[in-house]
Amino acid sequence: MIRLATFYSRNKTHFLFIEIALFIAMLLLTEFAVRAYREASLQQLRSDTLDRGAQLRAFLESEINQAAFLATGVESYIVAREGNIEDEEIQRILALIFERNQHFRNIGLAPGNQLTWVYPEAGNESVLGLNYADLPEQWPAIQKVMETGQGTLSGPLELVQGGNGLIYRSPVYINGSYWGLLSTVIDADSLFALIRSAAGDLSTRISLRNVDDEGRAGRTFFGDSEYFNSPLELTPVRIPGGEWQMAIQLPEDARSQVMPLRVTGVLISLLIAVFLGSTLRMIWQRNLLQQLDSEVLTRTAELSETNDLLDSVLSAARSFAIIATDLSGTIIVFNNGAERMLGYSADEMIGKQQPDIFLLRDELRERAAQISGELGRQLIGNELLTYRISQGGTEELMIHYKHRDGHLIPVQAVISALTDLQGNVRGYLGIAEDISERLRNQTLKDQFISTVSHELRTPLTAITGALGLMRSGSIGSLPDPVQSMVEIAHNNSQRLASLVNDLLDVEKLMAGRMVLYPDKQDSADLVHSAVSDLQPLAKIQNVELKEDVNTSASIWVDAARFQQVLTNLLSNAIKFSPSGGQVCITTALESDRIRFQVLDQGSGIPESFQDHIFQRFAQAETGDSRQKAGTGLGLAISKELTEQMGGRIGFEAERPEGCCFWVEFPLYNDPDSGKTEA
Amino acid sequence: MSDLIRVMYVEDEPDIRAVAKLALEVVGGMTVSLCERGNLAVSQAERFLPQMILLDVMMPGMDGPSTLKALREHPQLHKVPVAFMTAKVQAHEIERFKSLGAVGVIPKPFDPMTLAQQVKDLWRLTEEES
Repeated sequence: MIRLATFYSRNKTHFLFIEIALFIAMLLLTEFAVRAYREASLQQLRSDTLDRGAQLRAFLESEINQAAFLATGVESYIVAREGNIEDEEIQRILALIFERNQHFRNIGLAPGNQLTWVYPEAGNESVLGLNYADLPEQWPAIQKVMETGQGTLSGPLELVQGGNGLIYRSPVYINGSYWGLLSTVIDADSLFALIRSAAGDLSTRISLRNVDDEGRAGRTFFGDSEYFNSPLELTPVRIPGGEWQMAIQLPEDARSQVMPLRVTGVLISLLIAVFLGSTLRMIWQRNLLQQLDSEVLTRTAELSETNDLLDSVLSAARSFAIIATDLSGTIIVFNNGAERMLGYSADEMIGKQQPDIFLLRDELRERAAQISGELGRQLIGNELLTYRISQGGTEELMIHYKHRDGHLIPVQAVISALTDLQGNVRGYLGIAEDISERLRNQTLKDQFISTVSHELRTPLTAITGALGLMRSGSIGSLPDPVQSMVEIAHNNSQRLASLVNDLLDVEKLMAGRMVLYPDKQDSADLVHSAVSDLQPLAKIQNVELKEDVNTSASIWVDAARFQQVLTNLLSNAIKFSPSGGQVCITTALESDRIRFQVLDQGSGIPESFQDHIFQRFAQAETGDSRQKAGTGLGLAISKELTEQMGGRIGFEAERPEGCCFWVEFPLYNDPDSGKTEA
Repeated sequence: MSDLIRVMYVEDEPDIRAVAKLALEVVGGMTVSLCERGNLAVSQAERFLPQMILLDVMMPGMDGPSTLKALREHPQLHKVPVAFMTAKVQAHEIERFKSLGAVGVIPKPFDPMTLAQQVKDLWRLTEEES
C-alpha cells in the first residue's frame, strides 16, 4: 500500500507534465488552425476581391460603352440625313441622347472638324465654332480617329470648361467619305465618383491608368498608383479605341483579425488540457484505487492466512508462554502456553498493561537499578524489559513470572522487538519457558557432582595414600613383583584422581560456575612454580625441563588456575617428549601482553587432530592404541580457564619438529601508577 | 625450638585416618592420636594435649570449622595450632579457613611421603610467629 502511495505521489508530477504537454500540443494545433484559417480566409478574400474587381471593370466598361452606344444614335441620324442636318431636329436628338446618360457633360457635332452643334449650349458657348485642327493638344488624337475610322475614348483630361472629362470621339462617314466628328464629353469626375462609390460598396481598392498603343503604362488617374506596384491582379479595361489598366488590391484590413481567434484558441486549449488532464488523472486514480483495493484484498487474504498460521503456532506452543505487547506495554498476544503457565485467560489479559500483573516488582526494581545505573537515567514500566531490545537485538533473561495463585515460576525469557515492514519497532515479544524442571535437574546434578567430588575422592585419597606408603618402602620392603604391582596400582590411582578433578573442572567451566579469584601475579614466579611442580615427572620421563624467563611482568590471573594451565601444557610436553628430550618454557613480551610458550621435541600434532585439539575428550590417539595416559580434558580445560581469565591459547602448527603451545595474557595495568608493569 | 611430636587428626573416614597416621608416624616419626568425630575432639585433645591438630572439613555432625571454633574457645587448647585437610583447595577457601584461625590447609589427596613435612612446615611457621 505504501509502495502504491509513493508511486502515486511520484506520478502526480507526471500528470502535471502530461497536462503541460497536452496544453502545448493544443497551442500548436490552435496556431496551425489559426494560420490555416487565415490562409483560407485570405484566399477567399482574394477570390472575392477579384470577383468584385471584375464587377467593377464590367460596370466601368458598361458605363463607357453606353456613352459610345448612345453616340452611335446621333451617327445613324447623320448618316440617314446624308449630312443634311436640320438645326432644330439635331438639337432635339442631342437633348434626347444627353438626357439618357447622367455622365454626359456635352455632346458636340463637328462637320469638317468644326464644332457646330453643342448640347447643352449653356456654358459651352465658348467652344462653338472651334476647329479641332486649331487645337494642337487634341488634334493628334483626332487625326488618329480619322485615320483608324474607329471611335476612341481619350482622357481623362482637364476640360476647357473646368473639371475632368473623358472624350469619346467618333468619326462619321457618309458613303465612305469622312463627314466630321461626333464628340461626347463624359464627366470623368461623375463617372469616377460612381465607380468609387461602387468600389466602396464592394470594399475593393482599385486604381486605373492609361496604356498607350505600345502597351506602355501611362498616368494613374484613379486610385493610388502604389497599387500597381504589387497588385492582386492587373486587368485590362476595354474602352473604345484602346484600353486602360486596372489594378485590384486587397482591402486594407486584409490581414484578418486572428488575435481574438488565437486568444480563444489558447483559452480552449487550456480548458481542454485541464479537462483531459483531470480526466486522465481521475481514470488513473480510479485504476490505482482498484489496484489498491485488489492489493488490499490480496494482502488481507495473505495476512489472514498468516494470522491463522500464526494463531495455530501460538496455540501449539503450549509449553512456551508467548506474550506480545505494543510499545506502551499493553498486551496484544497472550497464547495458550501463557494461559497455562500463568493461570490467566487471554481474554482477561489482552489489553492490560504488562509489568504489574505477572512480573515481580523486586526483580523489576533490581533491573531498574542496574540499567538506570548503566544508562544514567531512570527507566520506568515496560521500558525496563525492553530498553536493551530497543537498542537492537534480543535479550535473554532469567526471571520469575507470578502465577495467578501467587506462586513463582522461574522462566527463561527471550525478549525481542516486533517490527513492521519498515523496521520500526511496533512492540515487543516475550517467549518464556518454564525452567522449574531444568532448575530441579540442575540442583540434582549439582548434588551428584558434589557427591562424586567427595565420595569418589575420599576413597581415592585413602588408596593413593596407602599405595604411596607401600611403594616408598617406608613401612617395609616388598618383594620385587609385589613392588611393581604396587607401582602400577599407585600410578593408576593417581590417574583416577586427576580424572575426577578434570571432570569436576569441566563440569564447572561448562556450566559457567567456575569461580575465579584473579589477582596481580608475577609471571616469572608463576612459571617457576609450575616448572618446580613438574620436575619430578620430567625426571621419571627422562626429559630435561628448562625455564627461560627473564621478565618480571605482572598479569591479572587466578594463580592456581593459571598454574593448572601451565602444568597441563608442560605435562603434555613432557609426556609426548622422547626419552632424553628437552622441554622448555619461555616468555615473549610485547607492548601490551605476554606470551608463555612451551616447546618440546615430540612428534608434533597430527594434522587431522589440529582442528579439534581444544575440544573435550580430544586425544590424538583414540581407541585401544592409546599409549599416553590422560583424559583428553586437559587442553579443553586450559582453553576455558585461559579465556575466562581474559587470555588466549593456541599452538604453532608449522614447526619442523616438536610442537609449541602458548598462552597469552594482557599485561597488568596498575591503576595506581597508571602504567603497565613490565 | 622443639620438634613436633604429638599430632591429633580428626577425620571421619577410617581408611584415610589409617593412611595419614601411618604416613605421619612412619615417615615423620610423630605420635598421632586419631579422632573420628568433631564433637569428640575437644575432650580427646584435653587428654592427649597435642602440639598440633589436623581437622577434616566435611564431617557428619560437627564439621571442621565448628570443631575449630570449639577448640579456640577452650581455655587450655586455644593456642594449639590447627590445620585443615580438605579436598576443597580453592584460594578463597584457604583464606576463609585462615580467617577462622587455621594456620594453613593441606590439600587432599595428600602425598603420604610428604605429608609429615607439610605438617611440620606449618607448625614451624606458627612457632616462629609466637
